[in-house]
Amino acid sequence: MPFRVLLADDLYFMRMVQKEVLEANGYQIVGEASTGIEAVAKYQELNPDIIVLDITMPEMNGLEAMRRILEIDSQAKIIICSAIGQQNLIVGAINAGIKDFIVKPFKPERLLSAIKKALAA
Amino acid sequence: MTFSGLDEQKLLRAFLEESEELLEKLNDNLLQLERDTSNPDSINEIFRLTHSLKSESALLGFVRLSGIAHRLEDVFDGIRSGTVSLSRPLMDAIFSASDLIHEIIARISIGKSDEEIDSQSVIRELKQLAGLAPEIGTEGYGAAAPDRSERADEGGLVLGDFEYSQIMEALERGEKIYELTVMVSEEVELKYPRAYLVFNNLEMIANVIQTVPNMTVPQEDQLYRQLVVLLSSELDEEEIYSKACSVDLIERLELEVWDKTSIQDAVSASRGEETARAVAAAQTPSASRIEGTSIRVGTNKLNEIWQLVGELTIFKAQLSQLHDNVARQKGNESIKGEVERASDHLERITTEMQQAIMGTRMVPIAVLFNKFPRLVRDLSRKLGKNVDLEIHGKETEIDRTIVEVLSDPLTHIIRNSLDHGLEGPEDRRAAEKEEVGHIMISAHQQGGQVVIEIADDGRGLDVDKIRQKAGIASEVSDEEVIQTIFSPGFSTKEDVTDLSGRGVGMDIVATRIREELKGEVEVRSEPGESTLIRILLPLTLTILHSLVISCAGYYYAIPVQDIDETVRVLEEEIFKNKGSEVYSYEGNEMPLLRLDSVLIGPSEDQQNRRREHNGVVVEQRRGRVCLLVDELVEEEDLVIKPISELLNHRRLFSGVSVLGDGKIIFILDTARIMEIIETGGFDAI
Repeated sequence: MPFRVLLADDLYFMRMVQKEVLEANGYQIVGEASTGIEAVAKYQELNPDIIVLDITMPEMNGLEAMRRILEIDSQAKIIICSAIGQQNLIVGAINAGIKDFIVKPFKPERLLSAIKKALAA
Repeated sequence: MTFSGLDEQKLLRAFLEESEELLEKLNDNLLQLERDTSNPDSINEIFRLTHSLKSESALLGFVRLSGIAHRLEDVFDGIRSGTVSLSRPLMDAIFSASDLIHEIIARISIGKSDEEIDSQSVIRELKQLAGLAPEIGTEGYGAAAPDRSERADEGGLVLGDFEYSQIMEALERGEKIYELTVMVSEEVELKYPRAYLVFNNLEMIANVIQTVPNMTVPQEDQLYRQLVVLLSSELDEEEIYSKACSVDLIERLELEVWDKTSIQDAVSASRGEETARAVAAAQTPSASRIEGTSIRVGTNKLNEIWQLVGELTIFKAQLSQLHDNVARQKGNESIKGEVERASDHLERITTEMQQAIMGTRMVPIAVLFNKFPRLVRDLSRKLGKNVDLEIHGKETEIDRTIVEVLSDPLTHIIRNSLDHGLEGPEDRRAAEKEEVGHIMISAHQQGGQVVIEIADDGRGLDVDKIRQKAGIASEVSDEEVIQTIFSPGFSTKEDVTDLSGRGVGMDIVATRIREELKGEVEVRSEPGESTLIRILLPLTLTILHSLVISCAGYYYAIPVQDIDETVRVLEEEIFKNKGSEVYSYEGNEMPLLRLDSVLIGPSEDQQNRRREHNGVVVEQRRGRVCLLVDELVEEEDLVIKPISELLNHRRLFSGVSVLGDGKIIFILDTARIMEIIETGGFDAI
């Protein structure tokens, strides 16, 4: 059974890159979300093994989505996509319980190894 | 104040920087409290502020300062709990205490100590008015700040009593003591959050006794390349290791279990440095001081980055020229496309970077405006005038270097408004005006400029008096007459110092705004009703959107903000008028200047003159002038650098910049050119 991944990013391009690299490495993308609201809804619906969550998204940002997801599932495995300059947000997210974070721009391997480690823990 | 080992200067600087903000808040809250003496928010905030001031100054050994702050803290604690009532005299005493604090900090900032300051009378007054029990003993709080010695092992764990007892308790519970060393990959950006992730994971399964560097208060990111964590846990090595390992981008992980002897060694080694922990604590500001999402960065560092972005801008321009050249050549279509994309990309990044860095230079004008309520309050009391101050647009952002220069002129204008502009209560009643005078200060952004207005509903300027004193002919309009209060030397003229309205020093104010800030200032006035002073300032002094022109084989730049329009000028539209050339444009005449004759020298060969010219109509407060140039080249954002006096013959240029191809370009000072035209300075050419 491959690990089931949910991708949440408002940029289609970003999701495409992530999807490509993850699928090539045996992960299954069970869903994609382009807003925070959608991410929460899809998490609840699909119950993925891990979710990759962009911080900057319209309607509801990634941090708020993260909070809601952790309310639904306190064991949720969440990886946050952030940018330089968001250090304080990241620390807040770590305190809230994310498993790892990646800093944009990132190489595809980065995402892969962060997911691998987070799923192994 | 002596404690060896700590960077005293650094601490002091941090203290001064922070106290500035603190004093401002204190001031604001005091003013708010005066308006509404039962406002619990203000009371709590002042209590908090005085408390921080007390502790910080005590830490640095400023005994007098902390003494006053301590007393204020007591007073506000009393007010908070209802044991002290806030009377008018008490409020005044509080204000004088706050003034003394200002004064002491000003002394400290120029390197003096606070010891010569007499704080006793202020403290006595506060105590008396607040009905606090006289205190026995020293006035200073924490006067005997603990002596601190240098930390022995930089980067290593330092165990004090607290750590020791934690270790002992953990051992009694049957837990093991681990020392975990984590190396974060060198190339990782944001090392602190990454180290924090490890730390957080460990905290969930173990008891973290100590970390080096400290994790609760972020320090310089680079310090978190290595994180050492001392922890106790009942889990075995394997489990601790795997938890720490679940984080990506960790280069190396070492886990060591401490046995009895290593614990004893560590403890006794640390004991030798018993005070070391105190230092470690002192080096770490308390958590309450960390302000959300901001860090302090020295202005010089920002300036350095700014300069680099300037260089980058130049390089970007070079690249885009290269791209233009490549595009003109035949063949190599695929490379052309790539160069174009790369060039576009760089362009976008550079522009964004420029804006982002520009953002760091910008501060809300509130930093300046916030001091005015206090100024107006004090001055209006002194003058026995009743004044209501309104402030708008505090959030308007402006370059911090502009703020620094603007502070004095603006203060002067407001003082003038209070002093000379607004009438006293009796005069106002006699003039059938509301007894309370109004002053309004506002700021907003308009195009590439910041507009600041200072308005009052006072007596206005006495145009006739100005006209008479300055000896201005009657055909000149009132509007123009009142602008002469800004003319250099105006206020030094005899008898004009007491012009009803104002006038004192307004010429100096105007000079600073015009010359140092490249801004404009104008005044409007309704006699007997109001005065409005409007200041126009550039958003920043370092980047100038300019029109590049060529003239006699050289490039020059004219700031776009000075340009009214560009025109085609036919030779037959140019006339001679009293020896100077004028250009007849849409029925109006304006002075005309052949830029080449000014910059290079007169050209004798009339035959060579073209029949048609490119003209740039420049508008300044003094009026308009048409500059004839060879070519209009392009508009560009230029990074302005100061120009050496030696190169600046007749001060025709306001600065110098470098174009994409590395050519030096001079920026024309249109105000100066206008001035020379007016004084007939070019006629001899």
